[in-house]
Amino acid sequence: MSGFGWMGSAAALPLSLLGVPLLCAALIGLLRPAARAGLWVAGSALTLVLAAVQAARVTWSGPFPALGGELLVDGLAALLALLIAFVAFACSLYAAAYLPGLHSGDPDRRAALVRRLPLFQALFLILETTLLWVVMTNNIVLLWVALEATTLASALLVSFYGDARALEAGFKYLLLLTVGITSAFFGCVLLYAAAQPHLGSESALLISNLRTVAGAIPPHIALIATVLLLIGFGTKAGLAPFHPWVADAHAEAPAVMSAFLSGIIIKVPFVGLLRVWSVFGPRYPELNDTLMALGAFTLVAGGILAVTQDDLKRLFAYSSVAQVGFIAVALGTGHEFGYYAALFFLVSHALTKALLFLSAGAVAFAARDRRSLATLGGLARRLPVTALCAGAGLCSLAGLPPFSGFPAKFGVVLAAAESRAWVVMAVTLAASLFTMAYGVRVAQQVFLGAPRSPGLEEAREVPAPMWVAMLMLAAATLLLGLAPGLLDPLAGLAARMQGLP
Amino acid sequence: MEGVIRTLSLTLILTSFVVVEVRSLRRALLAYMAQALVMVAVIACFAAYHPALWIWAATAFVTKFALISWMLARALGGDDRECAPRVGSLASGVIVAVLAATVYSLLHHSASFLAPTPLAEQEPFRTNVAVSLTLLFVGLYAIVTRRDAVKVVLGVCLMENGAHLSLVSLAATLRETVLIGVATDVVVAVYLLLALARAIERHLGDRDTSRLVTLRG
Repeated sequence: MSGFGWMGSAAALPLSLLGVPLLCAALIGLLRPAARAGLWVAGSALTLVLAAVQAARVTWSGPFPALGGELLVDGLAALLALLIAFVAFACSLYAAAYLPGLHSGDPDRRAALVRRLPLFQALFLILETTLLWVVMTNNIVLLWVALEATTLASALLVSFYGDARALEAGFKYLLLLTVGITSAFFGCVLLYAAAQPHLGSESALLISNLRTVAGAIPPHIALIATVLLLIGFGTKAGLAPFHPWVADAHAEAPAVMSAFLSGIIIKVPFVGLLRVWSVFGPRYPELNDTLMALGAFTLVAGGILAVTQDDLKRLFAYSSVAQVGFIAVALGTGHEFGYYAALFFLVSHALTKALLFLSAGAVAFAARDRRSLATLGGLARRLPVTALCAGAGLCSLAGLPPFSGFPAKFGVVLAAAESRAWVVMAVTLAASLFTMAYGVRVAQQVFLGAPRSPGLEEAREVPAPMWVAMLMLAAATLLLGLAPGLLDPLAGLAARMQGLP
Repeated sequence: MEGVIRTLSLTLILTSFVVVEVRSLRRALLAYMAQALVMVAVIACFAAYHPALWIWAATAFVTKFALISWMLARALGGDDRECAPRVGSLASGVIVAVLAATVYSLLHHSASFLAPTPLAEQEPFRTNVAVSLTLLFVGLYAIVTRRDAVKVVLGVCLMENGAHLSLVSLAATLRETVLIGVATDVVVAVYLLLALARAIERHLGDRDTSRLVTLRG
């Protein structure tokens, strides 16, 4: 511990992690426009370093609480904080060149965008803080507060372009998620109320204490509360049939925000599910069956919707719907390996889909805002680095080696097999074929063949910060594919601590 | 005290009916403000059982009666007439009345269904939980059937009132930092929804959410 110096103090690390992006958000407005992007990137980089130090500390010294147990930095929290910080850093780097370069042919839209840029940068940093809070909080009611705060911080980012479509997407996003997550509020309050007579009013708030009184909570309350949490968190995670907001929000948001939405925002609700499911899942097998069925339905619905899309971002958005189904299926198996597989898939898909949305943004950036597959083509020669990164992302999404998608999907299929859930296993394999089908279609229609629109011949590779960010994510998916054991210290620790069969 | 709480709780259902059904947005706002005040009174009555609830009563007064009402009043501007809802007035009135009566009576008679502790099955807590969920469903009905963006936001406010009212019975001992966190989320959500609704009105010329059909999920 002494090697970490002042960082060794238990509370200092998570508090610094929450504080750095928040402080940078507060400072953004005080700086010259040219320095704002630099502060955003520097703040994100510092947050990433802190998250890495925190992950190292958990790996070597084990989980630790902070603020009297209000925050709990265990394997799950440390891993996801690192993931959030990594994707946020890649997004900030990409955005440094992407956002100022948008709408270069339309002076009015460009002027409006430049005016709103500080708001975007500040809100993105606040969003990062709220996401880190979600993964590290150990308070059942503040978990809900933090998750709702992520929605609030991201609503204006979704509607950033300020045109009618973006405003519609932002309004629907905020309305649907606020309404949906109200059911999770009841779930959190019911669990607190049921645990309170056994633990006292303060201890009952702590999720880590729930396990000790799980047997004393009336079964009907445990079931109702967990289902309410599934509806609320499932809406935020984009599980079908609560997914209608997903494609609109992803399609109308700037690419950086779409990457963060798909990579991180739809993943953090699973933190709540992972924590609560491991408490009640083993006691009530019907909960596991429900989650697995919902996951299988999501896989099929998302896959079918993705195959029918022509808009590149909408296709990737529905693909994300399908992919969160894999996480639900793995978690629904109810055993330790399933929990590990869910966590591995979550990390892999976060990296992969953030990469693919940034690639889609790069394609639109270089091809004059074109996103329709029918109007693209032949971009591999003109955008070689973007094509390389998108290719890595598509291979990972399809579950092909040597990328992280391969061990991730293999893990989910194995977890389903271990539970003898043969039908669900068949569905996951069939859904993988869907993924492969639309992956090949994207590669063919965007990057291969001949250009299908005038002006595509003049498309040029995107600026360096954008492709560096994409390369970072591509390298991470490759590294995790070649050495999946890299996640073991944190993901394995998280899975082992759940006391699952 | 139980009689007072029961009367006030039923007044909450009546005010939610008025918020949803009256076509004048100013009157709907006045009904919402009345509901916020009654809610504060209900929480204050429950403070006789749990003194910690005084803080929740004060928080509800500041956030629901003062802040949210002020934001809604600003959003109304000079236009008082609600866009025509998806369901006609008579039919909607009947639906809301039947919905509220059904939810309330079902939950009041089967309090054990949602009561995490034996105490929550007793009066006045069982009435409180039944009223909370009734407000929640009436709010949800408003969100689904109303086309005017301000009325939709009022529906969200009714839902949130229902959710927060349940804390009186289910989580009376929550500490103030948590309560303030919960209340702040709602104030910010309403602020952002109204800001987006105003921006949409500037683009489309009115607050009719049924015109938001460019994107279809």
